[in-house]
Amino acid sequence: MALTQDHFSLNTLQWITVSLGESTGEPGSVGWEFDRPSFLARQPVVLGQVRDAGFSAVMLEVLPTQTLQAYARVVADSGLRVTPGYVHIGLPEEFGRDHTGDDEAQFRWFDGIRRRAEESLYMGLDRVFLAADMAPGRPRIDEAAAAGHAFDAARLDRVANSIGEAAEVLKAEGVTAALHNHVGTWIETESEYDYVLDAVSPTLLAAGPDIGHLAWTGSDTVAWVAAHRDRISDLHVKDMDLALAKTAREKSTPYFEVMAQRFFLEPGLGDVPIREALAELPDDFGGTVLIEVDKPSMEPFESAKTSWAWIAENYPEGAR
Amino acid sequence: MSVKDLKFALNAIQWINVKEDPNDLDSASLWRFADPAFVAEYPDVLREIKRAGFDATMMEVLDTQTLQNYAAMVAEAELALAPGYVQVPLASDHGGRLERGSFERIHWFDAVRRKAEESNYFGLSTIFLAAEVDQTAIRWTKPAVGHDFSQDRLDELTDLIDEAVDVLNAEGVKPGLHNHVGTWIETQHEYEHVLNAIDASRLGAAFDIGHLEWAGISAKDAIAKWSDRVQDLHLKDLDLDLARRSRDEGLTYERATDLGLYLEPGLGQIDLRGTLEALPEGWDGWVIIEVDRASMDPVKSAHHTARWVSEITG
Repeated sequence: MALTQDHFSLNTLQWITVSLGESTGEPGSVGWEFDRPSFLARQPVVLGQVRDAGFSAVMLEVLPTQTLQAYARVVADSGLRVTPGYVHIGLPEEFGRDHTGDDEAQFRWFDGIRRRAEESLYMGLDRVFLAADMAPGRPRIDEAAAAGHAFDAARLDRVANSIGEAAEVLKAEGVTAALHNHVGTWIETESEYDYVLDAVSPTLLAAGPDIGHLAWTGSDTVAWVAAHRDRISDLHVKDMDLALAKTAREKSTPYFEVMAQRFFLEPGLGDVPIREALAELPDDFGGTVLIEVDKPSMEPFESAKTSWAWIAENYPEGAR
Repeated sequence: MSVKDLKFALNAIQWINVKEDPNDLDSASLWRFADPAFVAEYPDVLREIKRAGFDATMMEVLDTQTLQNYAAMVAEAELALAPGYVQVPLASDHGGRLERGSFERIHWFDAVRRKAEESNYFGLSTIFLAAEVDQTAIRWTKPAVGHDFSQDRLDELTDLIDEAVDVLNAEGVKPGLHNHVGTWIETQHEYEHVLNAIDASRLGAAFDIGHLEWAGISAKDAIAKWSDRVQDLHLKDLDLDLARRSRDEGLTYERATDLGLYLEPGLGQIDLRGTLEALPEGWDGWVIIEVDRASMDPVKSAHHTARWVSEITG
């Protein structure tokens, strides 16, 4: 086993997904706590709890009303390292836009991608997770999650193109994108994920899977990691109730309806074969394993401590 | 103070505020900083500024590039950076007043926060802070005469500027208030109202010599009067007859610009040397030269401007 405790990092989702699913997508509508300016004051407390839970690293997350310098100070004060962040890109058509023949609009479509590159570089990171975007109103959010609902091959080609273009923007800044699968997006099923990975050169795009989201769709995550071990630069890991996942897939369940149940779980409390999947990584794996508990099954700080306890148990200190 | 000890920088504006067809005054006025295609041309412009003889340019990170990308261009051109520029829009010009502490009001200052971030990234501790240039506003049509003044509006703007100052100060950047023709801070009463309302420890003055003179204000007197607060300056020369005509005859901002209001230093009638000599001894701010609309080819304009600097400092 090549993995050590130092490979692990935490996304602070435990503290911030309180009102997720209630956002309308309109300006001012808050999807999660990160969007609230009031979270600025809580950020040092949350990062302190991440550290106190046992973690030495946290995912990059510069708040919308925070400068890079202010963020770097908060991180430095917490004593944590930062690990690669996350960025997504949508299709203009899903926002009522047509950029055909409008180079300026198409260029600016990637402003958010450039910003994440800037944040990453500022914090000394050269990799970022890149996903298709997820928005309320989409069929895989509002109608049926994790079942490849409303598949459209031509649209998947357009998604692959936008991912390729975003990866090029990142590459130009010196940041490598790692393609991320996510339930609710157009890169949801294993076949969609593999299709986009095959469509974009490995020199431009690494793989940054979420093995929880793969498991949610019914994939064999251990086999997937084994098959893609050389392309994986970093991973997201989450645990969940896979019996619930199966029932939800069979009954066409909206994303947030699944999430409202006791579905997402701290690592070790669910059924995702996390340890087995991670065991398929190469011995010299140098990336980050990011723990995510999208909705904690207990109080947030306890959830972080429970997550660390699983790491400490499975990757004992002596193995460092 | 002696002009020879001043630090000068050039704003790239010669290349930026141009007509779509330089030979046709009725063609569209462009603002090339906002054009994504300009990113690719920016390195050449920066090299030309250096080649003309300037060692510094105004900080202007394009909103289509990252800090790191801009830093590489500036380093490649071997230029230093002088303080940037940030503007504060009046909320009631854009849908209504904003409650302090509200989500919308906090985000109102996103662009200000971004400029603080940029300034810090490049080690700059001051910035020019102005009211918003709004080309649909009434003063764009009737510039330089304090048209449609309202104390109520000025109070609202002062309150927004006060918060912008807070945002900048919190990041370690001290802004200097900047007057600009066509905005709600155009006249002596307007800039003095804001300077008097906000403490000198938080807000300096960063006048635009040309915009003072266009509005009929003696820049020399303004600098002398506010000498303890002036921290940086914009310098431009003007055709003062045209400036007077624009006030008397009601020329629009665009029309005055197109007719040749802006000139390279030394080609207009502002006593620029005398104005700079009004600065206090030991002043260590930046003088950023702007030729808002070049009267010649941009490269020639930059070279002409650099020659003027070496003449007055020589």
